[in-house]
Amino acid sequence: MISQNALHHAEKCRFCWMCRHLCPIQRQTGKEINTPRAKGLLLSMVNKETQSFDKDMAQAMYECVLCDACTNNCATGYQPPVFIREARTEAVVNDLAPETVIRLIDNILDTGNIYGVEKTSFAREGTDVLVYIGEVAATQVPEMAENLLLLLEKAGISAKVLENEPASGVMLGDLIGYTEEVFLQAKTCAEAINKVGLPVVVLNSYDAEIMKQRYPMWDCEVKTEIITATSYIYDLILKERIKSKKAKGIKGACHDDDRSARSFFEFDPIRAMAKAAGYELEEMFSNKKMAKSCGTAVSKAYMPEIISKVAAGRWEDFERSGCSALLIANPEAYLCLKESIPEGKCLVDLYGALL
Amino acid sequence: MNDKSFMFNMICSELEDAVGIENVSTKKTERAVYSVDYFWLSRKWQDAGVAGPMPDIIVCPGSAEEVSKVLKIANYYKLPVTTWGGGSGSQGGALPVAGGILMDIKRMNKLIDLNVEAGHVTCETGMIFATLEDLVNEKGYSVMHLPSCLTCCTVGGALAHNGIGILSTKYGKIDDMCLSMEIVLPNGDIINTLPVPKHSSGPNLIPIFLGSEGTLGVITKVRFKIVRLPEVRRHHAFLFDDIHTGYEACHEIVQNVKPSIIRLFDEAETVSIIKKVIGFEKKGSFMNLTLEGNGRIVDIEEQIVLEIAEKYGAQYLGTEYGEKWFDNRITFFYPDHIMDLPQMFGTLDTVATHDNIEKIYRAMKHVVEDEFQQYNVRFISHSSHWYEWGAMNYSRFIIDNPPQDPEEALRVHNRIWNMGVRAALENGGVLNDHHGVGLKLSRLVKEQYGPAMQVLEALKNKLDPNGIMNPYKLGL
Amino acid sequence: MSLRLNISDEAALEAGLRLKAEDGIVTVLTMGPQKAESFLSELLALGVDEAVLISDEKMAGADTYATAKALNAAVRKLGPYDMILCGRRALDGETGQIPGRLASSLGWACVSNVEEVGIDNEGIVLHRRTEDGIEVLRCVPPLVVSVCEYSYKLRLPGIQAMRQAKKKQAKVLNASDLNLAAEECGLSGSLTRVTEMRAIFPGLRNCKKLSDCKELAMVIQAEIRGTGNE
Repeated sequence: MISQNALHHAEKCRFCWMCRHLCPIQRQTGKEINTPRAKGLLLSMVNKETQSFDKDMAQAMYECVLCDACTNNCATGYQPPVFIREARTEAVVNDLAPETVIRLIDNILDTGNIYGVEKTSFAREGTDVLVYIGEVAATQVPEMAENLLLLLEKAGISAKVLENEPASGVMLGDLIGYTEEVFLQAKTCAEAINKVGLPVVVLNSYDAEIMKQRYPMWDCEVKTEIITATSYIYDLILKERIKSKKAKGIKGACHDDDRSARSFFEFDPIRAMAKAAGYELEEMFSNKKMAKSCGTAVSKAYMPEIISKVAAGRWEDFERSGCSALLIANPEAYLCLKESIPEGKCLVDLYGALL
Repeated sequence: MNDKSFMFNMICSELEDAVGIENVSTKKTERAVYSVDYFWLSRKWQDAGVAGPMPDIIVCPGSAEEVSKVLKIANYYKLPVTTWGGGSGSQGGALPVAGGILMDIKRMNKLIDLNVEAGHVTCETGMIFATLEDLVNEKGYSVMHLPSCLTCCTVGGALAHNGIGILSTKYGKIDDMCLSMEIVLPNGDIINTLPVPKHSSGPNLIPIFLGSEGTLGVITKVRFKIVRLPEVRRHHAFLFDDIHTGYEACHEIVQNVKPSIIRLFDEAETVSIIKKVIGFEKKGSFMNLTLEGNGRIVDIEEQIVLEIAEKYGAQYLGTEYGEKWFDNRITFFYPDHIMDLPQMFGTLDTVATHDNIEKIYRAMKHVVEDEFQQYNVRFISHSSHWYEWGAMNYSRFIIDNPPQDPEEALRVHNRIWNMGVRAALENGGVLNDHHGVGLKLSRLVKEQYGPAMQVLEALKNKLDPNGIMNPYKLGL
Repeated sequence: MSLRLNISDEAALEAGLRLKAEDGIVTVLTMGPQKAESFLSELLALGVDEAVLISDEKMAGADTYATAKALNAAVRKLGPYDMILCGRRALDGETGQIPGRLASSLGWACVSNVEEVGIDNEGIVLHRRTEDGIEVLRCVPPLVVSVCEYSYKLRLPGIQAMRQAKKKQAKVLNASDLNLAAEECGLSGSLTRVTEMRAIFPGLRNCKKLSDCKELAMVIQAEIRGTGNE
């Protein structure tokens, strides 16, 4: 059941291709079905009963990283992710989701995270802030979490990290759309954070996005301040509690991850971090608000081949910039980009670079 | 074709061998996506809940060699091949109306060579035009082809129907940017046009394929000239008492200077679309004009333009509205701004010499408004591409409450087109200026060419004897 | 424009569902075109026991008077009910007249602008927003309550519930099901005449998205200078 609201968006997008050039997947695969227009058109056809919602269609709805570049470029503000997310719910309700997706959902329901593995524990007691590490860093990029915590320690910040940190719900939300199951994860997470009562510094902008922008809509607000780790570090740099490094004489370009770019419009912190780490900054193609996605952790988990292509596409943009260091402060972006580093280039975790 | 048949599967596996398994699809979901393009009728039928024309097999070749293999297979089995770039054409040119193979070229999207010293760029034709322009812009250059569909069309689509961009009055149509092309002929041979577009070394091959809309082969590579991004780009706007004065003034302007943009709107469009999108509130004939390039030359050109405008009694509106138009040049095409269903609408664009263009405007307006009065049709027009020798009209009809039945709508739609286009043909115009012929105007091609049609037919019969390439389009 | 649940109806529905958690059944009732059926079906996944749509071409163009009459007939047919929770006004017409008209036609009490609905041992407890603050009222059924926007956030449906809801359907009632004569319905049963209606809907966004305060400052500066351009 696609809601009337989502259908309205789909009907508006069904004959419009104005965002085709921005879609990080369509750019790499060249497939017509990988456009927001195609997804809108298909849902419209389902509504008019000229197509049935089958497994192939469900597959198509999952071939999207929900990067929201299409929405942000739309002159009239239509939002393909609204109907794509609902189409995923529809797929799950009707048992049509791709098997790779179902496996992840089962992992979440069994173990709490999509990878179905034990999370590295970063638990510690502290009194200044609560640091929320998130699923991706804890299971896939623990070194980034480690670096952030070390950096805070160096700046004299006493950070607390939860034992058995609950999932924020962002990954489940991308997989099955916004349903009661996601709400229950969100509620558990918000309650755990609220119990601590400290301002919460969130390493992954994806977690921060759902906490800041979705939790209040679902009546499970985080009652303390939610700060992205990047903007928290930015503040510490401004206060000179984190010292700037000497110029390295290396040219670097920052990659703005999807949700820092389009959910928070947060661009200065990562650049300030890069400068403080001693890099000579250049801008790469499609940056800031219109930054091209390099993939997400959850999409990489169910469609690794496509995400490799998407990440390679971002590396191509980077290579044309003439820089040698691609600068990142997000675990999802790091995870997607680290597998295809071109020769002579390096991928830099800015938290580590500031140590 | 019965997709459960033994032979169907045999052919699919042969195509998979040619382009790779993952690049062939017979999924219904994927095929349905190609059953609608930007053609109003295909949209209307989708909206009415009728399934559109679907291909049987989607093939996505990754190189000219793979295109060649596919065409050889298609010729052997005599399967129709419809080439699809962006699908953003308004004439139904990419609709797979004969079924068979749909060749989506977007996997051929590589930049081959960007040579700023020499001043040209070479790429595969499945590249989105905006991507090419971005890559060239990164180096401080431009192809200067900026159609409204820039972000959604492919390079190949622009070539196949000989498209045009908003800066055409200075930089020309796509045929003025194109230096050479690689084409795969229907028999699978890969050919190249000569290395340069202007010569005395026999007939030029480029114009044969530019505008051939996939009926004579598949364009797989192209080399465009590139120019430096302009030092200055300055926008102006004017208001004429009426479109007649506007036509005369613009004629004189293009005889003297080279603006990149001249858009002259009739009063009906001035008080509707221009008002809606850029907030200009007066009656008359609005015109926006842009000059660009070397700053010192632009200074002089500006003086000349202002003098000519004054001579024709135009009110100078300053730079604001011209800038607003430029900023919103694509906004016009987003949902809720562009006409949309349930409205019926179409662009009867045509081009003619200066002595005929106003005649065509009046004849077309007359026939559309008089003959279709019962539908409360509206007729609006602007002229947006100008040459020393003539100009085009971008005339549109809009019916807010057209027949709901898709078959009845088709009939009314086609009658408007027949009459509107004939009004152009009778007064020295042509079928179309820059959207192409496609399926929409296919039936009128013979009427336009008369006995000259045999030249095109001879080419078609020799190059595509089995008639597999984009059947029913272009009257071929 | 798309068909959607009124924001205040969302709050009313959530209030009802929370009461149901303690005891009772929840019926959702609306009047509208046939396609409203699809969004009523969405609500079945939220725990609504029954969804009913009053829909009839004869009823097109009904004003609040004729609408309340139809709702009244449906309530009488489907009931008895203890409480009717309404959104306090619709997103489009914004008249806010339906709760009052419905209550008066049923001869029930009506409490408007309610922000909290509760039940205790002695009955229904309502928190009502007034200009001066919150009024706490203790009421006895049956009554009509109009609920304020955003006072409750509508829950999200669960996957299992959505699967089960697929098996259920909204019930559709027409004029004859409700024993309403043609002249009591729609335009002919209405006291109001609509002379003109226009949808002014220039897209969802007709503004500029800015990245930071600096950019905002520049835009404001440009507006003050009167150029309208950055």
